Amino acid sequence: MDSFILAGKVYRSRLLVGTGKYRDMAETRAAIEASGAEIVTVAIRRMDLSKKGDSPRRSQSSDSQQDEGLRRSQGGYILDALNPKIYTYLPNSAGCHTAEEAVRTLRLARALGEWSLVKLEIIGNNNNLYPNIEETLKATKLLVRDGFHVMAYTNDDPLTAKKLEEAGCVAVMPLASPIGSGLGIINPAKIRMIVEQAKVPVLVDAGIGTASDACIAMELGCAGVLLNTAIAAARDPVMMAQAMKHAVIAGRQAYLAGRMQKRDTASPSSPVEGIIPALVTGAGSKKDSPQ
Amino acid sequence: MVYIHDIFCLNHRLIELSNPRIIILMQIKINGESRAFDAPLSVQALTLALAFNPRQVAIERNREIVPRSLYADVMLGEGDEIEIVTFIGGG
Repeated sequence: MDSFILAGKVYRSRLLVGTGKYRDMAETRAAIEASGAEIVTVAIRRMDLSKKGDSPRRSQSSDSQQDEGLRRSQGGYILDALNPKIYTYLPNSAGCHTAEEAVRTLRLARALGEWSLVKLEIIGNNNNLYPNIEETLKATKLLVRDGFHVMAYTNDDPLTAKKLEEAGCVAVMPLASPIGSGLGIINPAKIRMIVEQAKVPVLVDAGIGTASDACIAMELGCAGVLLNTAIAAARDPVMMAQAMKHAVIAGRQAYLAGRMQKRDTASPSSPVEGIIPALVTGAGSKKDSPQ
Repeated sequence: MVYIHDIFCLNHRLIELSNPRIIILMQIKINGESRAFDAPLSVQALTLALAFNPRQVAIERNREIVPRSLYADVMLGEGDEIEIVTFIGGG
């Protein structure tokens, strides 16, 4: 039985999906449902005080620039749109640049709903959104000591992945390519190295652009894939979500099936013995036989 | 007759005159914005005043998380810095 176990809990779906960048809550919900994902990432932000006096459930679509997240959540709050009893919420420290900020943010997330499984993301550069490894390692140790189950967003360096695993992560999540770039897995060899040495699940997180990228991640032996923009920025997010669902299943099956070896030369698929001469264009037939 | 109480632990002043009674509002920073509220004010009362569903937020008071079970018991004071956060869509 091919089970996907994270922090002691079994999941059926190996596709994890982010909840950002959708047009509205209705699209968020439809896409996530179509993806079959059981785990969704969410960010933590200040409540929008400009809505003071309005019930959160009656929030109007807002053109306030101060809170991008709530602007994106037109039509409702994420806790209303995606039932946290059905979906496993994976709070993400997205937006943090230091270990201190990340620990503070994830503690607040835990106060929101007692989730101890968290995604740790600490960004080192606001242009390429690469992870700050030093701060990520520091935060991992603090969070693990505080009882969190940490899934750490990291680069595709095998040594870094090993350090994070040894620091107590329940999963390591190397990027395929920069967040939101859609470039796919730019260095599959390194992902494979990470998978081969890891004793915890490895999930490719960031940079997936289309279904084949997700499939390749699974064929490399990853335990799962986390993506957001690939679905949210597709022309038809619901359809792409379905494609991703199939891609992750197909890639996992191909990996378990054990692919054929690549070879330098061709090898015909049909036997070479017993070929009927007449089938070969005229040559060998009575009319054309030499003398 | 003017009678002034200065209660350090709550840090607000109550001036009692023969009539009317004046209560000075306490200044509290919420999500970086300074606001005035009547004292006394519990965290629970704050969520009601701002129309937040307490189950959809987490609250920090002076960099310490306030457990939800204590919202009704924790009283806010002059100069408190409160962060009220919630989940939003994100990756």
